[in-house]
Amino acid sequence: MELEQLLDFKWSIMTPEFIILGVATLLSILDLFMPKSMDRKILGWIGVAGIAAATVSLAGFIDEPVTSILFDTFRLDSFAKAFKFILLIGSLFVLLLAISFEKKDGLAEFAGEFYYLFLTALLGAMFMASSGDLITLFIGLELLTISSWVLVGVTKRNKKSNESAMKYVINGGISTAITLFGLSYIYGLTGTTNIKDMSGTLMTMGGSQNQLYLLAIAFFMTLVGLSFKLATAPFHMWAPDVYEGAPTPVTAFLSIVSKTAGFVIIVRIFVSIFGSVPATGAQDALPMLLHLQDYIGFLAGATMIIGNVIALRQRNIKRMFAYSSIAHAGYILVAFTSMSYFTFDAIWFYLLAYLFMNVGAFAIIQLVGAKAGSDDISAYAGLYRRAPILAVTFAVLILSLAGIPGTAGFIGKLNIFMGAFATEPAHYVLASILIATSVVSYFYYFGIMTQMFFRPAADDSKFNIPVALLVVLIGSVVGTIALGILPNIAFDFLHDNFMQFKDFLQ
Amino acid sequence: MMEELLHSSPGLVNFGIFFLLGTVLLLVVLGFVTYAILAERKVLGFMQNRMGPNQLGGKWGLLQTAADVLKLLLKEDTIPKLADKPLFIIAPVIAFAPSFMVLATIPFTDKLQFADIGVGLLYYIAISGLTTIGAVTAGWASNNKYALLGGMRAAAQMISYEIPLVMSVLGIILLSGSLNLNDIVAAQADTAWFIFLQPVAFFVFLIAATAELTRVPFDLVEAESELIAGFHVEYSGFRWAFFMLSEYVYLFAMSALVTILFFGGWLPLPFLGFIPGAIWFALKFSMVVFIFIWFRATFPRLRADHLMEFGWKVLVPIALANIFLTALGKELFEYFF
Amino acid sequence: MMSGEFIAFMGIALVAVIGGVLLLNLSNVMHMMVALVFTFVSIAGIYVLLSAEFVAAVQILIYAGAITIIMLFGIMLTRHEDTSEAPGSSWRKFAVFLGVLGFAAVLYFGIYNLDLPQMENTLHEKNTMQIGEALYSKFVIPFELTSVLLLVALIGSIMLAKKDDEKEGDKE
Repeated sequence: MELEQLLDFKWSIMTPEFIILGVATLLSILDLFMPKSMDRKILGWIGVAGIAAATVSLAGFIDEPVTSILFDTFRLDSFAKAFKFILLIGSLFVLLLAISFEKKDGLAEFAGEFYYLFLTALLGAMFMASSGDLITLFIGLELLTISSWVLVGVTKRNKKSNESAMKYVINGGISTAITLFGLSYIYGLTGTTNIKDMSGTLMTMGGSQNQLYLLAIAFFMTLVGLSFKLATAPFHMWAPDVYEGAPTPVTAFLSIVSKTAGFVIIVRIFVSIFGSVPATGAQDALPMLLHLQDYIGFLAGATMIIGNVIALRQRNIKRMFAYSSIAHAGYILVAFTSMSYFTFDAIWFYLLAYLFMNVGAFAIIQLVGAKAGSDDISAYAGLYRRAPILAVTFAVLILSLAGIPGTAGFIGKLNIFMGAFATEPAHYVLASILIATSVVSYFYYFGIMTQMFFRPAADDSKFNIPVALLVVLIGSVVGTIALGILPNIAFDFLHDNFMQFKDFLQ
Repeated sequence: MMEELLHSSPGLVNFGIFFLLGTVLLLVVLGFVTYAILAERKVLGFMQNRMGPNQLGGKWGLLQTAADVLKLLLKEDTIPKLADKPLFIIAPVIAFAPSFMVLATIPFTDKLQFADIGVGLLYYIAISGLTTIGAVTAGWASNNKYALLGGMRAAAQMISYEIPLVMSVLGIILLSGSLNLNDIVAAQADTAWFIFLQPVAFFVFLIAATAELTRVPFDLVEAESELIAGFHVEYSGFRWAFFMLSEYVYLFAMSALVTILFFGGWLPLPFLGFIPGAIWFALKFSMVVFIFIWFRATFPRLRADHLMEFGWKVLVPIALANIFLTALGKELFEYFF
Repeated sequence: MMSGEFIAFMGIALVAVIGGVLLLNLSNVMHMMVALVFTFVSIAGIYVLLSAEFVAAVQILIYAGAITIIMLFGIMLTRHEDTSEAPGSSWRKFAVFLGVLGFAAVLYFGIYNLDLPQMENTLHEKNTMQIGEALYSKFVIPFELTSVLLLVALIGSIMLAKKDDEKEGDKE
């Protein structure tokens, strides 16, 4: 392949990625040459500007037809665009959280690195969203994972942070190994890393019993390995410890951006590859993905139950949100299991809603946690007396997480719920677990509300909210309520621009 | 002859032939080591204005090394009580085996070579790195602080200098378009010896090679005056001999490699093509060995931190610049001619 | 069936597996590392059998040569309580063993008489050049992304390993 041929590709569709990469590079150079005593906050704002610019440039490509570079190692289809919006907006909010995060426990020294590692993690996630080749997907996954390992352990002088980073690294390493093992079988059976070619090969292969058996093994290994990124069963145990130990912006990052990226890669790999393999030798058989969906359903159910039930016993709010985030991943898995006509819409909408409600919640956790010096739930006692607006904001976000009508969370759950019935046969069991565990979740969500509204405050000091946090709070509440009352904004956007993701497999 | 053998079908006879050839090579190398040690002592003596060995085996001391080896083999084999016994025993083997393995890929003439590996150069560098594990293991297993320090230094030095070593030959790989040592010699037959085309690479490679061989001035690994003898301080008898042997086999291999990479291997000088390639190879090879011995007589030892700084801050950037300039030069050359 | 390749593969695979088992069973970290080296080198041998000589050389250079030595270095720099604690109860050990056995059985059932269609390939010809061409043309995006990945890993490890100099005050 000659240079001219390489230059013929439409490299401009990578503009958002190039912007993020460029800003990350710029930050690292600025950080190197800035005097040590200077405040690094400005770097954070540059990062925010970079993400905003990338979002704008992505919006510019919204009418772009499916474009791929170099045999799908990079492809911009509507799926990629839709999910990159979530990743970018999520990172924007998280970076704003990071700017207002109090730099202690050795973080001050590495404030510059703290910002640009967020950007490289985002870069990895974006590549995961828009690639049709397993190698790029995997490298993106690793870029995201390694950046997050460092981010989790960045507060070096904090024992909890060290412990959580260690757990994260070990769990992450194991899960990566399992994922790769699974993927290597698919590669071995098809002889290509290009997802489109893979599904083509598998479809025509017909498949002996043995090959299908191996594919099923690959299916489970990959699913189990990738469940680490989602924090769903069976790889959920790291979440509480890591969420608790990591600095709050990093926790928010893990629960929003990292989780979204996990769902993106799962949908990409499973729908494209296993969605096209006939589960038995016969040509008209069900695809393997549908054939094996009971197992995914089982994992989804287990995840919802584990997340919501254990969350009941938590006194530490970050641990509680870790379990809540496990539970939410379970809800999204229900959508993935049912594989109905609007599965993609449901997943996209739920992730968007989850982004808004969760980032706002973490903003308040960060604010209260820094003030009280602990993440115990008692720190929220009497929040309504001390800061009524803050308390009401938090209440709105929590109601949305719980899925009360009028909020984004309700619409999201409703979509998933309807999706579970829309298929034939309908997933009654999963739907009922979804309802039951949602009811269970009311207990702990309302537990926080009780603390805020009905318990006396320990001290009466007021909060002063930094600008960056204020932006996050306003953005998240507006987003939550707007999507809750007028969900059609999002759905119209989705339908007008992304055409039901029809170009996903082309 | 070798070519046909390499492509022949596997069988007991061929196995026997290869085994025999391998043994012959081992004997040749042992002979080389014997006389390299003698040569080293003689050259050092000459440079330091003294005689060197001159008693055993006539005026030249020709049997001196043989007697030394005999002495070594008769020595008591001691293993310290608190040493980690299995590692202590296996370490000399780990250190020695790779040194002999690298010889397989070196073409001595266009006909005499054991394995014509496509990635011959990379194979050499990769396998020779394994010896470090032997040194480190030996240093650790001895349970002696000097040995441990020596082992640590060995690890640090090997890793640091392997990088400029590899990067300096990248220029040659760019010019010859191959990692195969035969192809590299062939490329020199078409153009010129790479010492003229890649002088910078030659100096970087020579320095890094000296460091990889842990010879003066980079012999911090076994610096007598600081560490007594470094990682093999607790070894005696034939286990110690294994370390010494691997060191000299590497001298053999590295000199052969330098000859092939920079001096055109078995290629003759112009108008002297009637002299066989083997002789040319031997001549150039002896010269390189002499350079290494010459270094030993003339340079003082580096300090540990200077060593690291020199490797990372001087050699690596120079090697990088060399790669860049070579690539640029190659493109420009192709553009204009 | 008893071709030279088969014998070579059996020997190499045996060493690789023994190295792996020893790695798990030995209690002294240094011994583990040496066992690991044997596994790495035998895996390189398997690559050679598959005519992937470049990957084999890189496997030895990177894994056996560099990574192991870095790990040995790390072990030497830490304190000398270098044996791992005895794992939990024997019942638990047994359960783990059963799990491993079950997994092995599941996989063995899948591969013991798998016949994959043999594809014509030219991997053994100019192996290195083929890899280079693929890396710098077809896979240039993941290749460049890998450089970002390595940079992040480098920065991250320096950040986490850098000595705390807060107490010494600001000298610079």
